[in-house]
Amino acid sequence: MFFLFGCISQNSSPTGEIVYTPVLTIYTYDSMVSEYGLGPKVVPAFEEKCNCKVKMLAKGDAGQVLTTLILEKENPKADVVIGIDNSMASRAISADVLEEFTPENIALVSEELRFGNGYLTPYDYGYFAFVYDSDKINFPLNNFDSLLDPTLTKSIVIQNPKTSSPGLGLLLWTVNVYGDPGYKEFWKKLKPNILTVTDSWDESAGLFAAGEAPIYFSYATSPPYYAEAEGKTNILGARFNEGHYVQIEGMGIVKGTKNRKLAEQFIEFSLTEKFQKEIPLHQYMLPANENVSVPKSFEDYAIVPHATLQLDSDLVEQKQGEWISEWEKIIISG
Amino acid sequence: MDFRVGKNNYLRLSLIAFFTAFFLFFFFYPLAIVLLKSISLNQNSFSDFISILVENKTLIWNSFYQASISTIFSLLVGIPAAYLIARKDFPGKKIVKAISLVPFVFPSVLVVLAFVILLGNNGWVNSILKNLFGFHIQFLYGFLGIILAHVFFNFPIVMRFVSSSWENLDVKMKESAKTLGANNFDVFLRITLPQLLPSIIASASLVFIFCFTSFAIITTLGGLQFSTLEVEIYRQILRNLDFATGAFFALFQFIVLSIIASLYFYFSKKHSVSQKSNREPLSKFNFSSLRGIAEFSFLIFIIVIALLPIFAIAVFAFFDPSTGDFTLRAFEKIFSVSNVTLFETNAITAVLLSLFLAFFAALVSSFLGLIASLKQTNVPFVNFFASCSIAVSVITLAFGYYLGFGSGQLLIIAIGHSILAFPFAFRIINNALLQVDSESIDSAKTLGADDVSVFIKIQFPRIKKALIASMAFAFAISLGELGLVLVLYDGIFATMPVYIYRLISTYDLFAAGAMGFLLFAFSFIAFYAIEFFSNDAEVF
Repeated sequence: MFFLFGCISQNSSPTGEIVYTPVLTIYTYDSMVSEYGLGPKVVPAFEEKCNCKVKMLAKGDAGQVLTTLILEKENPKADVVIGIDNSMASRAISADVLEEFTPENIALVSEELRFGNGYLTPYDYGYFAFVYDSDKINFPLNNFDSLLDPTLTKSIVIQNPKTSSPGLGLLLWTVNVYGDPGYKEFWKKLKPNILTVTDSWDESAGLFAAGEAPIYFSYATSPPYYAEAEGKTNILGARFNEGHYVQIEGMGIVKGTKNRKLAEQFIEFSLTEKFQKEIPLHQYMLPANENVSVPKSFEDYAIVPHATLQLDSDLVEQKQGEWISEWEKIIISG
Repeated sequence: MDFRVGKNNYLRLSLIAFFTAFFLFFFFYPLAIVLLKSISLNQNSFSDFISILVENKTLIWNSFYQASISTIFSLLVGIPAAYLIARKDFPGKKIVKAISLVPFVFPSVLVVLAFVILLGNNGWVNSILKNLFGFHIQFLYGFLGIILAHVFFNFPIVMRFVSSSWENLDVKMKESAKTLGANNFDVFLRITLPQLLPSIIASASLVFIFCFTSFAIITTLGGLQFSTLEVEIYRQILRNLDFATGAFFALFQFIVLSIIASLYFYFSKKHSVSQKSNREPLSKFNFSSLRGIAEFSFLIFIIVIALLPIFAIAVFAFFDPSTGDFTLRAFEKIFSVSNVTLFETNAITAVLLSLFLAFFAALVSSFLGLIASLKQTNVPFVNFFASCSIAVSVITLAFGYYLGFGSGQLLIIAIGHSILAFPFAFRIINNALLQVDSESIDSAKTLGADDVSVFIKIQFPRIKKALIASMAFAFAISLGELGLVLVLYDGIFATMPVYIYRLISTYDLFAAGAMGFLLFAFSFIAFYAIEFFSNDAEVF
């Protein structure tokens, strides 16, 4: 082959002998490693501590990350996976791509946030929300029904639940609010107002940023991003009376890793303040570590939900396939 | 071939063996795996296949529907354009004729990029509409955008086929009909159209195949609501890991494409029969008549739609969006070291990778094309190889490589590109070789020259230009290819089109514009080389 990517990198020590530095390979989603993402902040900090090299690889969105792990199951190339959330957890666990591990400092995370039966360690969480440009939308969006307003024809961008974690989150949220089969009615009514369904969240955010649509499905903590990073205070989150579905993101050790010790060390590190304090302004999510505070823009612009919603994970595992295919039948038609 | 010559039999046999092995191993084997998978994984009876078809009827309908409508509109634009080229004389005609190469040398991701810039809800056209009339038209994210992009991309194929046929029409028949009292419309309907029909059907079936297997345009401009078989094969394999459904779709699509492709080959043979005598003289635009003005406006329309996308990309690459000043910031952004972060590939490696693949494909496909075209080698079933590789969908072939060889293998991607470029390389070289006068070959042989020296002394000097054109063509095809790399690059080998595709997906249109402009520049060099080295690029 023309390009070789070894698992071990060579460094020459001052004495001239070759020292082999262990390499920790981490799979994650695109935005984690982007210029302004969390990756470039925390990787150097960890490398200083561990005397190792970290190779953090983006494999598309969270759905593709899990897909890649399943594909490589026989011959795993990664040691740690970042980005398996509470909706995907049961799928990841039943696909048998993770090793059990609970870090010693798990007490830093409150009980309600823990998920994944000992396979996953939560590092951040957030609430899903529709985010809109208040210059273009001049009536309150305060429940799901308000999204059905006829003036919003072809105005909303959402994500594909098959491929994107927020996309799945939205579907589960509607099932939670309307029940089964009630959610189907809601989607039929919402359909005319959907501009497009993208395969990943990044694409939706891009469409919104380019002014192609005034509303997109994102997070309750997205408005602080627009305020902090882009100086825009007209981008707001819609606080729904029904309550907001929660997403908890976790990381885990990939089954078959040859760097288990290093992987454990990284996950322990992820709960420490050094890692957690970077979460608000790089992930625009809430830190899992309760002791870490959030910046003022979060208090000003992030939505605090009336209620936290979450479906039972066994039910999700059991019914998810059916819900997604019913959803597809409604959305994909001519 | 004279087996008694004996001397070159080893060479001849090893060339044939190489060619056949190459295709068996890198073309038929991967396809066979996909087709076998569709049977073994599904393990169903015939009635189950039917029920899968019924379940996915929207998808199948979408594929046929968009391809048919795209074809019809490509004909509606392409046939009048063919008329202008065949019947009119105007300065710069050679350049307008060169537009026919656009579908092959202009990468589809750039079409997508240009369409988003021009026709997005916030694009140029809609900004003008909003400012002047206070409304906008939603072109993208659905059917309309797909059709517009397909017509832009494919009308040149119709233009090319039909104009070459139109140029060679016998004027005598037309004149005698007129003497018998037929009016212009009657003449067109009864005399001209029937003679053009083979070329119309041939080009229409080719356009249909291209639209049916279109990938970047559908995924980016169509959204999830409007998906087709080709795109769904990709989604099923790479997103859902549902190989059974993916392989089944591939099988179904394979059957459809084979039927359309045989239509193409039947009619393209008919179409190539041309008589050179009694050509009608060309006329100039008559600006004093309404018809002349209409014809001229249509010509301007074609030139504008061919140039506008390139213009849009250049503007996004070189001008600051807020101030409108000239800037190289977009280039600095994609090539700056700070943007490399933790990705395994960056913009520089993407450029190098694309160039490597393009050079590889240029050399290998032209070498294969040369072996296939030489009479001396007499490769069996060569036309069959050439026809098959034009009718197979890129995603299906990539799926076969994925199952057969695994992803993340650069050499497999390079070989895949060589296979995709082969039919074009073969046509160009074969046409050139056919024109080498066979008498001089025969007399050289009588004088004792063996096949190798015949090739070196007589054939090679005469096809040098065609070889360069063939390499340039293959270079351009590889450079713009997206689907195969997207299936196989494994996050590592991101080429320029993949890079642009990801930038468009996240709507970073300025960075996409910068990379797009570079890709266009490389494609243009190839395009220029084709134009320069082959006076009449016979590539179909």
